[in-house]
Amino acid sequence: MSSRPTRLLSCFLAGFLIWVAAGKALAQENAKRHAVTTAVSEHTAIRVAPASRFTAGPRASGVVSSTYEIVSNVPADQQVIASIKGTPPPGVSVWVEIEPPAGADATKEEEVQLLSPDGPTGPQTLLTGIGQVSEAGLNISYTTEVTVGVEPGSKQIRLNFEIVE
Amino acid sequence: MIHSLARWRCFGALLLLSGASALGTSAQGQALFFEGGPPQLRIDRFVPGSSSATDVDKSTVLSYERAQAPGPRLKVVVSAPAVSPSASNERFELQVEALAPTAGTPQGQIRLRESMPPTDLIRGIEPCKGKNAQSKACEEQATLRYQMRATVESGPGQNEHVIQYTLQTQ
Repeated sequence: MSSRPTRLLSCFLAGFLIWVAAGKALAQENAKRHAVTTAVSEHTAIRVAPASRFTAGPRASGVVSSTYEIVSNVPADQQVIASIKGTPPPGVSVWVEIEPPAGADATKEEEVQLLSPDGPTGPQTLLTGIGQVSEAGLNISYTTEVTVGVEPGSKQIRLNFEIVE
Repeated sequence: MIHSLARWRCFGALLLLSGASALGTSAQGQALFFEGGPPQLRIDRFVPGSSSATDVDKSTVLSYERAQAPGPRLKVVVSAPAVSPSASNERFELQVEALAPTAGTPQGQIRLRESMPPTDLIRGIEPCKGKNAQSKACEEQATLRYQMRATVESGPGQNEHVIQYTLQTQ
């Protein structure tokens, strides 16, 4: 047999516990979660600014310069490869020299030949060791030479640059 | 007989308290919720010469209810609970900002880090005396502006962040 004060205390205690539990439930209902997705794609690009006209002849230096920009977020050992695109005019030679971005290396210390009087030399590796990089305004220079058999006039030579793993 | 009556009185009081709590919980269930979303941010390219890139998402609206007058002044806090101790979501930087809240004062951009302490997003949400301009009883809104930033060095990949918003007494 419990006394009246004990019963009142028990009832009050039970009520208090319910109030605390309800308070906790209220607090939970005032919070909401949602998921936020963040993603980054693989991005690799090289863009070479057009070079000015090559002029071959008695008073021409045969060297023109330009710039290029390169970006890659791929954590891999990549290379820059260059080649002649399309059909170049016969009797023309083209060499290219490129400034490597930070962390990369030029394949050769001297110029790399892309075109000989007999035709393209095929894809040539210009740079190696390209990792995660983002640079602009890097130098690239071209040297040209023509044989005496080439007729005077203007011809277009298209070069292709790409980044490969 | 008297004891039995007292027991029933106590039981009845507890039943009423439970019912009131349940009603209160139901009403408060609408206190905070999202419209739109879920936020998805993606970076597809980097500008050469720049080491980082950003993306912004404003697809989610946060709705929150003011307390009924003479209730307390409220605030919205944001946190990023750790989902998995092994999973690191710190690869890309993520920030959130409450834009143009219809009640309260925005606290600017907040950098979201996993397991960060709750941080104030909107403060000074005054109690409501009636209906607001949209005739919705004390319901207010703010656009959530998420901004992610990634560096070239952080590489490609995807992260899932769980972000929690809590409406609480200031």
